[in-house]
Amino acid sequence: MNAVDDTSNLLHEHDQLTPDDIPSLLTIIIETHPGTWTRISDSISFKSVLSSLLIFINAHLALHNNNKVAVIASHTDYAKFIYPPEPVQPTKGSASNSYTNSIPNGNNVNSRVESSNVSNGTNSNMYRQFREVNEAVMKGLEDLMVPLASDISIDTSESFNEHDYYHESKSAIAGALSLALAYTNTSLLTNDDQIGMRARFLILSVCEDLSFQYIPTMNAIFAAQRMKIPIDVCKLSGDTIFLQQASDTTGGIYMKIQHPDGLIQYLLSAFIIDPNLRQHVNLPTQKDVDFRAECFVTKRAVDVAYVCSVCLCIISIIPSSGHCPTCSTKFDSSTLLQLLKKPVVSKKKLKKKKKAITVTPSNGAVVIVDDKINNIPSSIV
Amino acid sequence: MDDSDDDYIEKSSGDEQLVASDGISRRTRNRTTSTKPGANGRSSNQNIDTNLKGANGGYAWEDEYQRSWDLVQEDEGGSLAGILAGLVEARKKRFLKDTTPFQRGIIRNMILVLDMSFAMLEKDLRPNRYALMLSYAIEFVNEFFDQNPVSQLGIIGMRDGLAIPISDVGGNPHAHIAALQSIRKQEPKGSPSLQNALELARGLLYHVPVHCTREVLIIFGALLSSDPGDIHHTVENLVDDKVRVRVIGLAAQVAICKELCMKTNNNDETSYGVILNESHFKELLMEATTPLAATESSTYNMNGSALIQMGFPSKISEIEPTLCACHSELTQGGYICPVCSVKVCNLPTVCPSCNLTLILSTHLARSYHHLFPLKPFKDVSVRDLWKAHNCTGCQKMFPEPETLKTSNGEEEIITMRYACMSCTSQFCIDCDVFCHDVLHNCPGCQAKSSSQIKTFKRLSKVKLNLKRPAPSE
Repeated sequence: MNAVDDTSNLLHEHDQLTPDDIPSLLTIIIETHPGTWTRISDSISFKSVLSSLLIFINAHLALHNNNKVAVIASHTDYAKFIYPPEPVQPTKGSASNSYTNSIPNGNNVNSRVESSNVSNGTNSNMYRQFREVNEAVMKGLEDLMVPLASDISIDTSESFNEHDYYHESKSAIAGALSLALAYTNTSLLTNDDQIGMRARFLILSVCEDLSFQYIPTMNAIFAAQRMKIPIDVCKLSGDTIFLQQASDTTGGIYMKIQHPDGLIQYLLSAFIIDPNLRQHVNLPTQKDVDFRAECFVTKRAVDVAYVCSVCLCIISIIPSSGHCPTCSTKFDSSTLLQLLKKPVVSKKKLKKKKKAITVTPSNGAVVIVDDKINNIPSSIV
Repeated sequence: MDDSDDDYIEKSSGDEQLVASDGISRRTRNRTTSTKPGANGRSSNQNIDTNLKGANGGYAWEDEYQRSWDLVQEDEGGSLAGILAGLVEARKKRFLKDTTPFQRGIIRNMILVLDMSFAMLEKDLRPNRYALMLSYAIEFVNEFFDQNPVSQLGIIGMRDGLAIPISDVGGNPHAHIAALQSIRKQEPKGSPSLQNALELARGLLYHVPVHCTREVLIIFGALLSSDPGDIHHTVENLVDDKVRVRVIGLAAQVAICKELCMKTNNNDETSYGVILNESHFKELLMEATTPLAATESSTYNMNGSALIQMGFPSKISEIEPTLCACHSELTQGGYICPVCSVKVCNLPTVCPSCNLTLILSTHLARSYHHLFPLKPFKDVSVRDLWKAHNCTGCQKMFPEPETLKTSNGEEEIITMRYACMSCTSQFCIDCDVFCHDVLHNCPGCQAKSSSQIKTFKRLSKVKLNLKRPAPSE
C-alpha cells in the first residue's frame, strides 16, 4: 500500500512541476463608458457582454484550483477595482461615501445583490467561488452606474465638465493598466504557493480615442512587457492603435469582434488559452499592426514625422515659431531650413540633373559626329 | 614613463582586504601617523585622502571588515522586525534621489570597451574577472537597449596591446550578444592599450551627428596601459570631439583613468568608479544605462536643438517569404518604409533605400520616463492615516503603524505608507518601489478623476485647518 502511495505522490509532484499546471492570474479590464455602450447597443448590449464575461471568468477559475481573477473597470475618467472588492473598514469620519457604511461581508450586501440579480442566474445553488465573483462583479458595476445616473440628473456645476466625458469616447485605460500592474506585481510577489504564478490581462475595449494618455499608457505597456504579461485585447467597437501596439509588444492577442452576439465563443476559444500553450496554437491575432505614431500637435496618426531631439516629441508639421511645442527648446534654424527646403530643392535639382545628363552626351555625340562629319568630308576631299 | 601606474590609490581590492578582515586591521599602524597626507610627500592628493577616510577617521581599508550579517542585530525582544523595516527603508532611499527632470542626451552612441588583457585572469571575481565581465556585459547590452532603444552601441576589446573590434556599431542587441558569446572562449592575454582603444572609439564615433551623444564606457581590469604614443594628446582630442568617457575599474584607481574621466566630463568625478564587489560592479554598469544629463557647454555651442525626420513603418504579414532590403534574406513579414515602400526586417534602422530613420513609436515612448520621471512619494504622517485604509495599487490593507526606537532613543512612528504628492493616494512599500522602478506611473494619478483628486485635497485642507491651531495653544 505504501509503495503505491509513494508512486502516486511522486507522480503528483512531477505533475506539479510541468508548466501547464502553473496557476494564472487573469486581470480583466472592462471599459464601462456609458455613452459608447449606448451607441453600440444596437449590435450588442452591455448585459449580454456581462453574462458572457461572467461565464468566461468562471471558466478560467474552473481550469485550475489556484487560478485567480481580478476585474477592473476603466470608466469615463477614472479606474476602479471591481473584483476583488475594496476591503472596507467601518470608519468614524465621513470621509468616504456611503459605501463604507455597509459592513464588508454583511448580509445586507449579499441580500441586496441576490435580490437584484436573481434574473442573472446567480443563486445559492451555484458553486461558491463562482457565485462570489459573479455577485461582486455585478455589484461593482451597479455601484459604478448608479451614481452616474444621479449625477446627470441632480448635479449641475461639475457635471457639465463630466458631460464631455459621456460624449467623447474615452476611458481611463492608463489608470486601469497601472492598477492592474501594481496589483499583479504584489500578488506575484506574495504568492503563498511555492509554484510560480503567471499573469495576463484581457481588455474588453469599446472606446476609440485613447490618445490623451499616451505617455502613461506606453509606460504601462513597457512595464507589462518587462514583467512578461501578455495583454489581450477584445475589441467590440472601433479600433485603437495603442491597444494594437500593446498586444503586439507584449505578445498578446488583438481581436476585433466581427459578430458581437457570439462573444462567448470568441472568449472561450481564443482568449481562454493559457499563455504557455499559445506557442502551440495558431492564434487568431491581427498580424498587420498599425505602428503609426500620433502627432503631438495635430493629434493625427502619421507615418512620417519630425522628432525633437531633446524631448522626443513627435510633430508632423514644423512649427512656424521654430520652438518645440512640448519642451520649447529652440530648433537649429539651419536644420529647419534644410528640412523645409528639401523637397522643393531636390525636385529642381533632379530635373536639372536629368536635363544636364540628357543634354551633355547628346552634345558630345553631336560634337563627335560633327567632327566625324567634318573629318570625313575633309578626308574625302 | 608609465606614470599612470605608480601612484594609484587603493580604494578596494579583493584578497588583501579579506586577509585584513581576519583581525590584522585591529592591530595595524597607529592611525595618527597614517592620516598625515604630507608624510608621503603627496600633498596634492589631500582631497582624495579625505574622501577615503573611513568612519573611524582612518583610511577605509584600516577599518574593521564589516560582514553583511553583522549589521543585522536583534533588538531586546529578539526580533528582527525593526532591522528589516530599516533595510526596506534603505532600499527605498534609492528612489528618492535623481528625479529632477534634466535635459538628457536621449539618442546615444556608445562604445563599450572591454579589457581582454592578462589582468582579467585574476580570480578575485568569481569565476574570474573575464567571465564575470562578459556575463555582465550581456546583461548590460540588454538593459541598454531596453532603456535606450533609439541608441547605437559598438563593442571593442583591448588585448595584446591592440584594440580589437568585437561588434560593429549598431542598434540590434542580438548582434552584440552573439559577438560577446563568441569571445567567451578566448583567453585574455597581453597588455591593454587605453590609447589604441580610445583612438578606435573616437574613429567609430566620428560620424555621429551633433544631436546625438558620443560616449565610451571602459571596463578596465589592469593597472597599466601600454600605449604607442602620448595618451594625454588622445585625451585632448576626445575633449575636442565631445566624447564622454566613463571608466569602471576592477582593481584600483588609476591616475590616467581619473584624468581621462575628469577631462571628458567637465571635471565630474562620478564617471569614474572602482568596484567594491560583484554587486557594486553591476550597479556601476547599470548606472551607465541611464542617459547622461546634457551639460551646459554641450548645448551652449549648438545653434539650437535638432529636428530629425523619422518614419514610423507599419508591420505587415506575408504568406510567402520575400527578400528584405537590409540583409537580402528571405523573411516572412516585416516593416514597410512609408516613403519608399521597401521591406526591412528589424527596427530601429535606417532605410537602406531612402536613408530615412525608421523607428517604432513605442521605441520613442520608452525613453519618456527618463525625461518625465515619476516624483518620489513622501512618507505619510500619522495624521493622514484616516484618508485610506488600503493601498491604491495592490488593494491590500495597510499594516498598523509601527513604533520604532531610533538610535537617539527617540520613538518614531513608521506608518509604512507612502503618498503621491499630486493625488494624495497612499501606497505600500512594494507598490512604491514598483511604481518608481518598473511602471514609472502613479496609479493614483492615472486612475482617479480630477474631481476625485480635488475633493480629496479639499478634505485634507479642512483637516489641516483643524489641526493648525493646536501647536500654537
